Amino acid sequence: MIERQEKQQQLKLLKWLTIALFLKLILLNIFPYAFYLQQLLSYGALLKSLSYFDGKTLAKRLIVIALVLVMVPLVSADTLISYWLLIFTGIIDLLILLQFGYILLVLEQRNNLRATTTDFMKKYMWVVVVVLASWTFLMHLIYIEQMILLFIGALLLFSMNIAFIIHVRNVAKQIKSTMHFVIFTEK
Amino acid sequence: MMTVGAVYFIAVQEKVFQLATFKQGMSKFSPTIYWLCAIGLSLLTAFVVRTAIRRGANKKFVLALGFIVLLLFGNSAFYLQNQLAQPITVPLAYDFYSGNERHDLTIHYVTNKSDHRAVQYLQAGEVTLFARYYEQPAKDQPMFYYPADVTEQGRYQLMRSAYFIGNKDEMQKLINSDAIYLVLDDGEKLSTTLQLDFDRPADEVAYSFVSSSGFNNGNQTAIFKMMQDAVFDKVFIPEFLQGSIEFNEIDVNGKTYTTEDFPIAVKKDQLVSISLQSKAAALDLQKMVGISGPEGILPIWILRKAPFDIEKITEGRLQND
Repeated sequence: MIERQEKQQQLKLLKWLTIALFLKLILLNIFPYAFYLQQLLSYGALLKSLSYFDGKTLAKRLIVIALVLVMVPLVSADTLISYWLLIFTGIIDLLILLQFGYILLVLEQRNNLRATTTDFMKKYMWVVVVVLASWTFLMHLIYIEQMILLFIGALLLFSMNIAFIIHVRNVAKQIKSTMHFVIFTEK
Repeated sequence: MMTVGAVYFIAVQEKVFQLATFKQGMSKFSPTIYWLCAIGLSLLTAFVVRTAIRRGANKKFVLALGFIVLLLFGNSAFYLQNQLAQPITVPLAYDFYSGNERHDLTIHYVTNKSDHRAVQYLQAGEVTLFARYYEQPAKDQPMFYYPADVTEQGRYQLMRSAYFIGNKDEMQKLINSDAIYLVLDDGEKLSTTLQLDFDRPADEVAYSFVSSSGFNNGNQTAIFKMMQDAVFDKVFIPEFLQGSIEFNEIDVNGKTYTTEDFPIAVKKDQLVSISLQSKAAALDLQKMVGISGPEGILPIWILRKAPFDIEKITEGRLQND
């Protein structure tokens, strides 16, 4: 029964991670205040998700840094700072999600599942790195080029986040199926 | 830690930048300092990357992040190097049509994309003309700032226009005053280089205008029909335009002359075609040139917009000062 309770905790963790990823899907940069709200909500969901994890992780500290970054535009609206924020927010988000990738790996090991997370996180990481590297050039472009570059990058991030959500759902499904198995053998 | 350091770096640079602007006026702040800062920060990044790898972080990943941060520093230094210390106004040579009662005047100015101030009014002695279509600057869109009065967009700067309307008296005062300033909404004054004047139709010979062609490539040809007999013996070009405008040929009833054939006598009802070449000058032009003689001037209007080239504009300002 203890094991069953633990698995329910794990499923809750995955549920909140899915919600956080879902909130990150659309880049709402166009509406300034909607963007703050979206960021705050998704970090909140990540913290909630973390509260179901009992192992060691750096994610909490990184989320605190990310929350500080969210507040910076309230202090300064300089153009160059907004480019820096875009890049550093991207880096911090990537670091946080890599921590969650590590948590997923731990969950897979605890449930004796096939470990697919490592491969997936590698792909995810490289796509985000390429997008962020290309976005450092945004400050030299005229608006239409900026729009195109931002759009292509956002599209890549969007598809990778969708893939991440599907991956998390898969892990959750597998954990659920082991739960049925446990119940069945107990009877 | 690094992020906090980075934001601090920007803040300090901004302060230094403001001081530099205050001290040096038009000149740009030295780009070496930006590159030194960028290199210093890059060394710091390299150190952080090495420490992270030694502590057992994924080597490729840390190197990739370091690479992104290096790109960001390099690009930022390049970006800061291309910023103007202060908005600059585009020189303008303008002849008002003296027949009009109300006159309008468009002065272009170049600002950094990150500079959201706009020209609020024009000040010359006691004359103040408020800019039409003036907009309060928007604060919430640092990356995609594109106000309605932008005429051209560069990589780091925008060319914007300030539009003024005034009556004959006010324009006469502008022509007579030696210093005309554009004032931004935070009170900063921009010096201008203006060559304003009224045209003088009384000095012109009697003619009727037939056609004109080719404004943009620098070649311009105008055809007139003479309404009186006249002799032309000089070219009429305002002093500051000399060297940037050349008369190619003057065609009278099919016979071609150059300026070396002066004086040229033309008769009533003859067709006179004048072609001239104007080199790209970094100033906005609506100015009258022509060929002149004892009977008067045969005028050609030159209308050109300054190319969006900051170096040339700055040069042009210095020349005309």
